Amino acid sequence: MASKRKPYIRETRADWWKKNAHYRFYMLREGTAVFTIWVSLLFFILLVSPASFTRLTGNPLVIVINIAALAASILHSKTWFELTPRALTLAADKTANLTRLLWGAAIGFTILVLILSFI
Amino acid sequence: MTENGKMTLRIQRYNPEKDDEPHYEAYEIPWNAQTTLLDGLKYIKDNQDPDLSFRSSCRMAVCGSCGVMINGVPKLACKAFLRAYPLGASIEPMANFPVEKDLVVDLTDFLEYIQALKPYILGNARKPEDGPNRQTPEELARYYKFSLCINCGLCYAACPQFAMNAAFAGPGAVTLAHRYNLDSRDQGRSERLKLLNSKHGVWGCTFVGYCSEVCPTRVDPAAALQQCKAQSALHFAASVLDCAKNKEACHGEQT
Repeated sequence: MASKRKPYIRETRADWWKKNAHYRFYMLREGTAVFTIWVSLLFFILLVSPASFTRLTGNPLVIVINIAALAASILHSKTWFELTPRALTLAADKTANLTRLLWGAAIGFTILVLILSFI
Repeated sequence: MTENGKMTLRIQRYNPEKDDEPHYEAYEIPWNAQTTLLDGLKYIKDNQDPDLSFRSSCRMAVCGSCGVMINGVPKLACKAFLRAYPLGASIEPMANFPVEKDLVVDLTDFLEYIQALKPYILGNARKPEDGPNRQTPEELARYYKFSLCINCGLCYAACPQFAMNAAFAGPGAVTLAHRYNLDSRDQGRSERLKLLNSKHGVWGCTFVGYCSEVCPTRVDPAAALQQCKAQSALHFAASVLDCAKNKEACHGEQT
């Protein structure tokens, strides 16, 4: 007897990520990369021409973008610190310690950079 | 048991002999605090529509047969209580797999990868006479979580990468391979890494992480995939070093 099979394949549309909160947050998390490009560009300008860097960072629009970039990088760090321990073969108790260690290192490094920039 | 009243389930139907595409049909069913979605589906099949097709077996979240989408979320029908959906629910077959009929999907892509990744102990020459092959609690703890997989496929229904590329090995099969890669009794890691490192292996994963959220046995397949990426990267680095050391052998392999 001939097969009556006719599997129906559902299409994945470009808006698949709008379907649930987890996917939307994933897109937000990955979207923080755009701000990383922006910050890299700023550093590049600082290296090439410090004078235009100073002029640029005084621009109100740039300040707004920089605040958004700061928020994006904090979100990126938070999710990264949560995901990193899972990527390592560690026991559960060590995982919690590693997350704390990463947060400590990030906060410590931020304070160090702030102190250095005011000297 | 007292009834809480009636609720409406909208179920996606597809008959390959009659339909060109799926459509929804609504069924009104009685429910109480103990009714699972699987009970509801069985009620419909017994009392309203004997043509309704769905898979099920153990009805206690052990066999992994009854995965469906409830309001777009992958779940086991036997583990989902209807009391969580007092306003009714929309039921679809597991996403990302081809639909055979109604709620039955074709799991071939997933099952073939399980087979290809050899999730069993390889390269261990011990014989039964040698007695039990002991492990320390730490050695067991490394892979125990990943050994709880029941092959239900919900992680594939949650995976947008698998949705876009059915050739991607996917969360479930990679987790099973990784479970054996981590086992101190196993020697098959480099054999499995060939496929895990390949075009359709672990690097197709972008750590969306929804697979771990929907897993009914809390296996955390997303973690297994990331750990596997680390192993894959180390394996690649080792093979490059090996090539640098042993040029003739490597060039011989390429040609």
